[in-house]
Amino acid sequence: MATVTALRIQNLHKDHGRGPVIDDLNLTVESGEFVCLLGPSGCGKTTLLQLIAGLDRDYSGDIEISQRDPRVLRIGYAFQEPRLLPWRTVRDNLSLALPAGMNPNKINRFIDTVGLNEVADQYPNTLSVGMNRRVSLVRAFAIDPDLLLMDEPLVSLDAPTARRLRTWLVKLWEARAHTVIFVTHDLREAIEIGDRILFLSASPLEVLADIPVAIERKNRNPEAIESFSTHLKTRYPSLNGLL
Amino acid sequence: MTNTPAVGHAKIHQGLIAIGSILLLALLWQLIAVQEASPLLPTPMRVIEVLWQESVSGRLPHHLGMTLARLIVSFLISMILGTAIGIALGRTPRLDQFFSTWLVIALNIPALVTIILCYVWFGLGEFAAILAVVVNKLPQVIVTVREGARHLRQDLLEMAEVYRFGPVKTLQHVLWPQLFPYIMTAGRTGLALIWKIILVVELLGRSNGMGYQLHLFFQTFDVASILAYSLAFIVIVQLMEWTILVPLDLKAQRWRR
Repeated sequence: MATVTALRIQNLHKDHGRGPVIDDLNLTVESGEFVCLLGPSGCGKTTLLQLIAGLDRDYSGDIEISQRDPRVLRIGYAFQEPRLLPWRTVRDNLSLALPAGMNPNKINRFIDTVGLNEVADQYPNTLSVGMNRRVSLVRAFAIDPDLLLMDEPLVSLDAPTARRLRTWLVKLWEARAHTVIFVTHDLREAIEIGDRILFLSASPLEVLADIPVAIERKNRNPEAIESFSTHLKTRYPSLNGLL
Repeated sequence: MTNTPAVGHAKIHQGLIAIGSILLLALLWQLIAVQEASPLLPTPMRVIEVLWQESVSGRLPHHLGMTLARLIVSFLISMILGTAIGIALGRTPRLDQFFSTWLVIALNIPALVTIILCYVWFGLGEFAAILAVVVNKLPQVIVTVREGARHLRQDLLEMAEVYRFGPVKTLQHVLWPQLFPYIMTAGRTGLALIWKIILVVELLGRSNGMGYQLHLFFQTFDVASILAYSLAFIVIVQLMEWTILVPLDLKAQRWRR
């Protein structure tokens, strides 16, 4: 299958006023690719996602996202906090995010598929933190996005919950093959779910290394992940600060 | 939203206490009135008798109706205007900086002054009466709603932007639920404020309504009628609270449990 570029960033430069946060960043993501951005906290990963999402238009350079529907660009964004509307039920939170013209019945089928049926008519406050994250991820998938941005969506969950959600997330992604940009600071997480890992430097943000995860998805057990991580550390000693 | 038996019992208990305290108040009143035996302090029974006569004659419903109509019109106008201005000020710091001194002045003008000025400038008519009430009430609505608009959650607004909610959906599902508690507060305190002001407005410049009637009774020292009319008004305002405000509040807050 010929690859199609889903996202192309060229000469991106962003300055908050106290020196550049992002300086001359170039980045290409192919359609259907799951790319992990790995970098120290505060390196500007969230800023980068906000620029891509169009929440902040004060930058120079080019951000091109290919969209299937020429009228509207669809971006699914799983924020670090779930950002659900507390005064709307899970079902309403999901259907409100659907773009105009998308069949609202789609959401009911989707709720079924992802196993949210039991909580669909509850308010987010009554659900666990993990469940709120899940709903927020489902919302990002439900709009059938051109590009899916995830900003550490599994951070500060307890380990078993995070593991369960990670597996569930990969399944969700495999069924639809959306283009994903996934921000994390956890190398093992990145190895487990990514096609490719971009190692980012601290501010100003640049790409230090661009490494494909050379393990087939079905073989990504804890041992394989551990040995790949060791391999990276010996192969790229310069990245040790990040790993 | 299910009422467990314990909650039900607590409610009945509360109700009994409320009834008990009202009965005690009436009893005290009765004792003092009998003791004094003066037309200036009629007994509760006498007041209820007058209340009945005035209701049957149609006078009380007529004047109460006039006052309620003014109350509703001025309440709605000040709520709608105040909410719009409050949101604008809360979301635009520059506008807010400029107009906040105006607000401080408006908040501190005595109600009586605005009432007199409205009548002097616009004549002793219905327009001036409504305007006087609105001008008195408006600054307080603005200040309360502005507070709400200042504290809107930025993270949810960003979410709405990413998911392309558009202005209508954003207003309905993101902004309104956050502003609602502030608007309710403004409405509650507003109702209490307006019905006190409106009587003065009527007393000074109208020829019907509760304020006008109270003025007449004052001239004849007819305390029984004054108390009867007050009682009717208290009951009506409390009914509005129970049948309109409380259900609205419950409906909007149900997600909090």
